[in-house]
Amino acid sequence: MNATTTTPMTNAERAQVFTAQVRENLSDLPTDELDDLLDGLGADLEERIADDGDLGDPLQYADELRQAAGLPPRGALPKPQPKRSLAESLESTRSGISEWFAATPARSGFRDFMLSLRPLWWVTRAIVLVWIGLIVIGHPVANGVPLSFPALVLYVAATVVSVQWGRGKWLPRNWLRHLRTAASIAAVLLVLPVAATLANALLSPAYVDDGYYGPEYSPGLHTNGEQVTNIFAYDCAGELLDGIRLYDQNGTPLTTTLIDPYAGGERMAPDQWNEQTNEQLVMNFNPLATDSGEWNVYPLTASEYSEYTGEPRAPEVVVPPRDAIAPLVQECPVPTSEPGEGSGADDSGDTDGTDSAEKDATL
Amino acid sequence: MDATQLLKGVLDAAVLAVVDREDGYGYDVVRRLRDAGLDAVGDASVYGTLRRLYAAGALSTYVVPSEGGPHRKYYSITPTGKDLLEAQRAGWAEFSATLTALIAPHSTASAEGASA
Repeated sequence: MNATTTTPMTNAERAQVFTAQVRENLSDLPTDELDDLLDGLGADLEERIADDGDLGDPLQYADELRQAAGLPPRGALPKPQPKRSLAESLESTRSGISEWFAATPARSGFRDFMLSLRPLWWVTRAIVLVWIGLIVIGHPVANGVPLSFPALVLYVAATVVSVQWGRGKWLPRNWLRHLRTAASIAAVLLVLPVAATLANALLSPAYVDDGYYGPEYSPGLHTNGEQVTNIFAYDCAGELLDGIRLYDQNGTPLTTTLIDPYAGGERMAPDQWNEQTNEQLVMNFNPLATDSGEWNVYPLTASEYSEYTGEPRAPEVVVPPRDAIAPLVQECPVPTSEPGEGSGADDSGDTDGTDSAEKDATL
Repeated sequence: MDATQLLKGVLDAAVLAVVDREDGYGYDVVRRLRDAGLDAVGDASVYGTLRRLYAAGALSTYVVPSEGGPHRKYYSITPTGKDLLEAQRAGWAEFSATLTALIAPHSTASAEGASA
């Protein structure tokens, strides 16, 4: 080459070499940016050499060019790795977030407050994961909450591990750190459903599968959705019967009474609304059953509330809605006082037969 | 004070003003700046500034082939560049007036300041 001889390089050659050196020093920039920046530089340099002769240090020249063009200093552009790995992106996001929080006193105050709540999160994380784990393996739930003694042990154990992990302890292997991250992400995703279930369990009225929380609600007797407050029975001939005693298919006394846990939980006869007088009537025992205190003896008596004291007045015999009804058949068996004959008239058993006899006596 | 440091802040305005007078290629702009008295201006600083002003839309370029050598890239000012130059003119006028007053030799203002 000519360079080894005494023949000096032409201006054009020197400009070319210098341009190449400058380009080398700017090689970290994107190619199109570099092409734009150095486009026409050769001609300028050539002219410059003709004027002055000295071009100076190509590195310094490149830095000056870079600075004046407002381009980032060498090494600031992560060119060797055009695509960042997920971990780097996460790390960059992380540092971005920490910078954002450090920017103002309000933000850093908020951050510090949240940081001091971190132990709470460690506990929550443990409970959420054990909870979901128990649900997954089919642990029985009470009101949606998987709770039992073994479950309690698990909650405590997981809380200890979670808190230790939160404090950066008990992580001898690197994969455990990854496990911790995975656990945190899972807990974040699952905390809402668990919180919703817990809130539901705490706020809704107590209902537990196998627990007893006081008297159960017993709605009494209804027909077509309407409360039955009294029962009137007529015999075959259409005569009103008094003191009839009712039992259901199991032999349990059949009554119109109900139990309302919110009204003391006592068995009581529901009040009746008198349509004519527009007054509320308190139902009471049939006079024949007052002493024995049996509710399944009908018709019940009723009493109005006193206007002065607000207490029920003395019970009175209720006027039946129908005074008498038409006979069922033309020749009804006439009940007699002789035992045995009357029993055939009733569709119930022997006891009812004797009841009829009793009724006859009162009528 | 080093003139290079002073120049840094106003090089944009100087380059815009030169190109506004007449379109020019890189070294031509450098030469005209030096002829105007800015001896300390560096070639690379001017080229970089031209490139940055172009990227900002203040300048446009066109290529003119040269005889037997590499082509030349000429710069000309755009309307955006004219607006920018006008704003920098106003800014410089205000700044230089302020600084001139501030660094002027001892006057009544500084005497009052001393007595207070």
